Amino acid sequence: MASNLSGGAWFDANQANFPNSSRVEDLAPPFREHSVEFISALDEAGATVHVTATRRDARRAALMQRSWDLAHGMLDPKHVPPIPGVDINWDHGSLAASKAAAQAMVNRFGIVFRPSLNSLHILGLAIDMNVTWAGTIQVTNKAGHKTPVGSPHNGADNTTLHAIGATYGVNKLLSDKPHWSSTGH
Amino acid sequence: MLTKILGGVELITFKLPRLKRIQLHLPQRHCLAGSIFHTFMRPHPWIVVACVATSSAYAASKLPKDVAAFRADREQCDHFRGEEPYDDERRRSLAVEMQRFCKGSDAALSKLKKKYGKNRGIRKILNGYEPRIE
Repeated sequence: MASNLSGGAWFDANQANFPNSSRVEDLAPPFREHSVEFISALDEAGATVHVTATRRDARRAALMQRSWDLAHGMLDPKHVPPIPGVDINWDHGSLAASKAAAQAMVNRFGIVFRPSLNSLHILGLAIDMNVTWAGTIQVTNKAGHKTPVGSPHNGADNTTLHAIGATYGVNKLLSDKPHWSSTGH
Repeated sequence: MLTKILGGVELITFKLPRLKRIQLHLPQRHCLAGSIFHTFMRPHPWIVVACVATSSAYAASKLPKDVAAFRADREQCDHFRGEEPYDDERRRSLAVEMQRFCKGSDAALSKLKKKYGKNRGIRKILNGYEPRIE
């Protein structure tokens, strides 16, 4: 029987059970439908769309935050709030061992600052996607009007494309290149 | 009554019979009651209520520069802390952005809390941020 003790071994054995999604179908309605419509318009215009992240697994995010908090002495290993659906024991019998195991998970996750649980990805209201094209394409907005979209040839920087996305309810966060969401945050 | 203009904020101190000494920060453009007050020079309790209400909204839009700068960086930081490093490129990108926006955030927050500890509005805003993210 596999141990449910936290640490690198637990991460290796279990982390795949809490995957993030890159499927548009996993987004929350109506943002899902808005994203499908916008991506369809981009496809029809000849753009290349590569979706890299949609819904973030809430349990995975909580595991990341608990690991961080334990490793940094912000949680008592004997009183860690449970994560529904996750069988993990954070208490290794001593504070030092518990913190070391949590730190091993922090390292595996690749965390450098305390993870936030306020992401719109967790709610299924954000999508990371890279959009590229060549030349000038004609992209149809929500109202059915075609708009020429030229340079710059990427979704991160092209403000005309951002405006078209907004007509579908898919709003660009300018500071994060691949990030679009229901609110622009 | 004493009236001073401090950086666009009108500071009015006056006395009312029941409420004793009252000091309000009145945004000139937003506090109609402030104008009425100036015109007739007779304070009325409803003027106080109206000015308090408008000054709350004003507080959010006219924060001190250091608090506003902290909020701007911290909002970016909080966004990137909520993102998952799903591949190496994204991991590198998030690390760069978090170093840019999150590094020093704990100390900056603590410093601002001390500086504005007596300002209830700003204290409430600052208390909304997690104190330890580094």
